[in-house]
Amino acid sequence: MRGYSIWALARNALSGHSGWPRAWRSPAPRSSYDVVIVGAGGHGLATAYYLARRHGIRDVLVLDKGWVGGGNTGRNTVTIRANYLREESIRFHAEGLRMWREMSGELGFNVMFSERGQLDLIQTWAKLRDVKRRQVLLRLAGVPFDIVSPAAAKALVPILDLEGPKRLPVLAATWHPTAGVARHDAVAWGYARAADALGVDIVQGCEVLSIRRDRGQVAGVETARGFIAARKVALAVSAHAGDLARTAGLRLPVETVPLQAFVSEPLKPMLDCVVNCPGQVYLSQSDKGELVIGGGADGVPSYVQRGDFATVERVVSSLVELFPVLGRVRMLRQWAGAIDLCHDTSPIVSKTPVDGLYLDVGWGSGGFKAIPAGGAAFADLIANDMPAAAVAAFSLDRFATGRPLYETAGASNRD
Amino acid sequence: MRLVPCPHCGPREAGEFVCLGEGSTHPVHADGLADALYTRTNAKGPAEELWWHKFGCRRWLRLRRNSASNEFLP
Repeated sequence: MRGYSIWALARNALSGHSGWPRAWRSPAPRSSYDVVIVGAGGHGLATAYYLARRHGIRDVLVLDKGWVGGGNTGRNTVTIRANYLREESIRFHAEGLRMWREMSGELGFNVMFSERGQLDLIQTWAKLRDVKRRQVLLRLAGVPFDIVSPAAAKALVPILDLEGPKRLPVLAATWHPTAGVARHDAVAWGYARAADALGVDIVQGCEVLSIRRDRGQVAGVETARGFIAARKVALAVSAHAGDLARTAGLRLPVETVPLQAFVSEPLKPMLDCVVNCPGQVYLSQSDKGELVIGGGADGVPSYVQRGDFATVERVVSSLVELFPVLGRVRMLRQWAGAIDLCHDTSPIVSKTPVDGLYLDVGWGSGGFKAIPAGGAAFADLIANDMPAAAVAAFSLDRFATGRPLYETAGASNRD
Repeated sequence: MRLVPCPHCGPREAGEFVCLGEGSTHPVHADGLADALYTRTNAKGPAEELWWHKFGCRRWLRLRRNSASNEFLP
């Protein structure tokens, strides 16, 4: 792999940009691999990269029915933060933030990580109690997180309107300065290119139809291009985790729900951090000037990547109430990603009752930020056949053993 | 607005309803409790769900819906 540099840019500029090599190969799948990863999104590709880099396992195939980063990696609203509630989640995401800061250098690919801070507007007493509890736990873990006054929030985000009667007045705000955003496609492409350079095969447009097992042990995957044998099969998919796991005889504690996002027409710079009103609306401004807007998950389970109108109404009414300056802004696009939610809104990174079958699913509304730390921990789990301490709490059997990890900090949490 | 076919009130706006999701109203034995509470078939396609007509007749309904198209089925 030739690195990208200012010299490469100058050389290729002189030759009319016709000499750039392909960022990754497009091989035909072989008949057998050590590890087959289903899903070439951020999680699948990061897992492949860390398997090759940290564990020396390079006989790896990443399969996707669409294209690299074409699922929820390309559909999310790119917020990266660590302001969670549970100790296990906080530690996991704090490590993630550290990895995000170093990602561009490690992958040799600019993922445009921008540490710009996140402001949460607290509009209910219940949420205020929740963030007070989170503040204590976050401080214990060394994650910067402060409760600030509405006036301080207004100073950080001048377009915020606190005047006049509001349906939900702003009681307080929280400031999480180490949160940020990144370029979602670049994350998928950067991991794909780096994994490919280490010998990982990435095959796009090849759907996995089912998982074949040989009694208690996984044997491989049945794909649109025939059977591929594997010693270990790892699912890093969203929305179809339940359907795929069922072919191996497993039922999962996940429900597929649409999570919507909106992008406005490009505007002049007006917002230099992420603003979130928990459960109502959140927004940030992209480098192109578009406002990237999200809300909570829909209330009706569905695989349709379009979303419910009731959610649009909830998001837009909150947006216009808090930021009346945006009242006449036109939206360019609206879409939904089909997310897999567990009842406790924590993910599943776990072994399964089938030997050699591993799960990295159920990331709900928080999968994008978890790409580096999730990929590293999942690679660790696959290589060692034992969960790393960072993800031990995200086990599949936590519901049956009475240890669910209820979270309050996800975009899909409503209270 | 999407319409939900309430068998008692006829087609009504989705905002009147709460989707309670997959589940059954049958009693569950303690051994199967975690499974009944948390595990989902989560099928892509037609499935039976519980709905609650909260702002209408307030009855619990058993409706069939296709989760791949959001259409209600008879």
